[in-house]
Amino acid sequence: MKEKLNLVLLIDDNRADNYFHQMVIEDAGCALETIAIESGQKALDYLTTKLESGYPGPDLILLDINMPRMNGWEFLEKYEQLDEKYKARVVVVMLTTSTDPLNQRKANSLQGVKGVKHKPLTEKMLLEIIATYFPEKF
Amino acid sequence: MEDLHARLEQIERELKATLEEKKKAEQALSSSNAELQKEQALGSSLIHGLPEPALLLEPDFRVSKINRAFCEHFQLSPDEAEGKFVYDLYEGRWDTPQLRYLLEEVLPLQLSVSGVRVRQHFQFIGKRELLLSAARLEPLPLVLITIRDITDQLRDEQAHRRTKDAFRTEISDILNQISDAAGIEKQVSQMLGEHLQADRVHYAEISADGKHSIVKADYSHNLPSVMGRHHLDSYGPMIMNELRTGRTLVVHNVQEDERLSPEEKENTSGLSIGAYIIVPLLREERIAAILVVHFREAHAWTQEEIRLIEKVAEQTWNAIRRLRDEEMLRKTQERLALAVEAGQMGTWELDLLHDISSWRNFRHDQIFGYQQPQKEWGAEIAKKHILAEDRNIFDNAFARAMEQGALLVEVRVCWPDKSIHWMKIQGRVFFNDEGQPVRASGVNYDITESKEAELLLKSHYVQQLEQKNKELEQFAYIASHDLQEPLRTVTNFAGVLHKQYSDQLDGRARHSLDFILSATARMRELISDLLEYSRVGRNEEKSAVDLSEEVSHLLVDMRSVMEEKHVQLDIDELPLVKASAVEMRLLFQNLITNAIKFQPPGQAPEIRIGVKDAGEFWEFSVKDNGLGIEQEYQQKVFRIFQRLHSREVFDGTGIGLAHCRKIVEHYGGSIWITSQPNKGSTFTFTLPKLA
Repeated sequence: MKEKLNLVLLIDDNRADNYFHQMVIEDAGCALETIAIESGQKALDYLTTKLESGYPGPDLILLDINMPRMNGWEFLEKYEQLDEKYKARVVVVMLTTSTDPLNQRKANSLQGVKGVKHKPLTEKMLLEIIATYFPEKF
Repeated sequence: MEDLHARLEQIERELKATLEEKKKAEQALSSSNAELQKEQALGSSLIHGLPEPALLLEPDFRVSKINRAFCEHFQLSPDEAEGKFVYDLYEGRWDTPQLRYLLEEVLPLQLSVSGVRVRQHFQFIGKRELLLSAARLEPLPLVLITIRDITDQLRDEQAHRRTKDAFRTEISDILNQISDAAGIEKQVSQMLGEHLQADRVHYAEISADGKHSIVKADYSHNLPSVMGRHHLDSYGPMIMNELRTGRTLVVHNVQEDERLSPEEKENTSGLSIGAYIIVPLLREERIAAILVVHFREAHAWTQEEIRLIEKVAEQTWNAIRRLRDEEMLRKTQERLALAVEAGQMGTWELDLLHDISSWRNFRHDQIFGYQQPQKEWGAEIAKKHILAEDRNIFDNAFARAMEQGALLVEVRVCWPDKSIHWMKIQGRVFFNDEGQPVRASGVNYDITESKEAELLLKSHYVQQLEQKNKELEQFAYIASHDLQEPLRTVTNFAGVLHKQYSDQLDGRARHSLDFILSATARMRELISDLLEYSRVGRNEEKSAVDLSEEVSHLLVDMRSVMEEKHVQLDIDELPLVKASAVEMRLLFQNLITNAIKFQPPGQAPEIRIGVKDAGEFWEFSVKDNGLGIEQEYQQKVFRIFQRLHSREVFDGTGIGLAHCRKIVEHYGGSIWITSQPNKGSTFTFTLPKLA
């Protein structure tokens, strides 16, 4: 690991999952900062709000699909329309069920989505993501 | 005839005068031959003055004298006739039974007789029709016969009658041959015009509003054509009033007809019309059409002409009406044929007294599997084609039709090639005055395709779907039931860790344990909801449930939360429905709970429960003043475990409305939401009324 990711954004309504994933990322020691947000709309708001140091612009978004109100797909629709300056470098879709091939295909068909993984996130999975999409940091 | 009589009377008068002279002469002269000759000379001088052929006969029927007219007419000289027996003239041609009867039977009894008709063929002048009159010239012993030849007159009359007949025949031909109304009107107008030598003839139809006459065809000779549309007011009030009575209006002389107002006279003669006839056709007490004949000059219409015009008008209108009836019938038949064709229908008619099919189309026999029309057919023959298992159905339907009049049956037919086809027969039975069924007619069609689809649907898909549904419910029930056990184990031991070892754990472990405990609690909730959900409809115990009572019980149970949240509840008197009381309570509980729950912080919920009559259903509504739901999420709320808010904001599993929908749909009703964000929501659902 040459360099840590600046910011990982977790979008998931399940607080237990968020807590767990944060633990995994922390233990892997591969991110300077991890933020968990519990709804798609809040995540959009967060991405487009300027902080002291500029827009958050996370390196990686881990997106849950199964959320109340705006689900992961609906989030992606709105996310795709955002200006590039707000977007993350890599979006990975996190699926709760491992068996539904329809979701897998749908995720693959979306341009902004780099990868599809199944919950729960493991350290191995995380390192694979970084090796694949952030080779310069691995 | 009349003038012959007059002449005879004159002769008699002259004779009387002669007789008086004769008496004077008798006084002066003794009776002698000279006197007789004088008398005969008197007779002969008498007949020579007559313009018609005449002859004088002696008492023994010898010809005494013939006059000049006789000579000329019958081409006989006095020498050839005088002194001969009258019966011998013309080689016995005068010897006719009529003449003998006249001379020998009638004349001895009466002084004169006239108008005896004799038809005879004569040598030089051919076949003649003669009218004979005879008189005894008493006291002279002479008989005077005058003859009128009516052959030419009769021939003229016949010729006249022949042209009249020919005219009528021609009219009939036109009426039979031409198949459009305007064509008939044009041809008949022309014929009538030429026959009467009229100056203009036309038919006109009266428009439906009764205000216009429409002339589609006319015959015009010395007057301009009047084709087109005319306002009826232009005919004048007298004319219209007269026509409304349905009588033919005959005007011989426009200028002198007292019935016409000066204005009407001026109008009519302004159109160069001197005389006219208008025949109206009345239908349902209004004028439907007219036939008009015009002359430029005054014209003395004869009775014969008037009758002819009326007759022609009547015939024409009858023919046109028949044409229209035929046209309508043809169109109806075409439409029917089209419907029959489009529906691939067989049609049939059955004489029930003899069980003989009086009429069928070919399609009928095809439906029974024949490629050639069958010669003999009847109900018994049809029955033989029906699959043995279905014959009872056929018999029952037929027996019912004989009583009730309507036949409707679906049976399977076994074709000659042994294939089986579904057929539907639909028909009507007709009864005579005694109520005996005499005739039936109807249609039959092949319903194999739709029937097979229907059966397939019933047998296969529906059953499969029902099976799947049952399995699913079973699965949900068993799964949730069986999941409870391992869940309980996790809950129990996590509880032990939390209770007894909490102080030995670091922050992260404690936090993790908290997540485990809340997750197990939630899972318990989900499982129990799932169990409840899968039970809807299992509870088959339905009774008349008084919803007002159920809801008031429910409100008692919910009192604490109602008071805590300061809920204002307004509720209609609710009806009775046939349902499971438990489910009805659950339905209202979920909706009321929702209305209380989804409120902006600090707002007191206002809930109104209403009901209205919607035909076979009651329509209930639960209206709140809560958060409301955006349009795009309104359909989602009824899905199982669907949540619109994160659990941190509003607690719950997301099964409540799914549950409501399942209950309502189980009873055949439906549920929907109308809502606007921040303006509250109304949940509306229907339940069937008590039967």
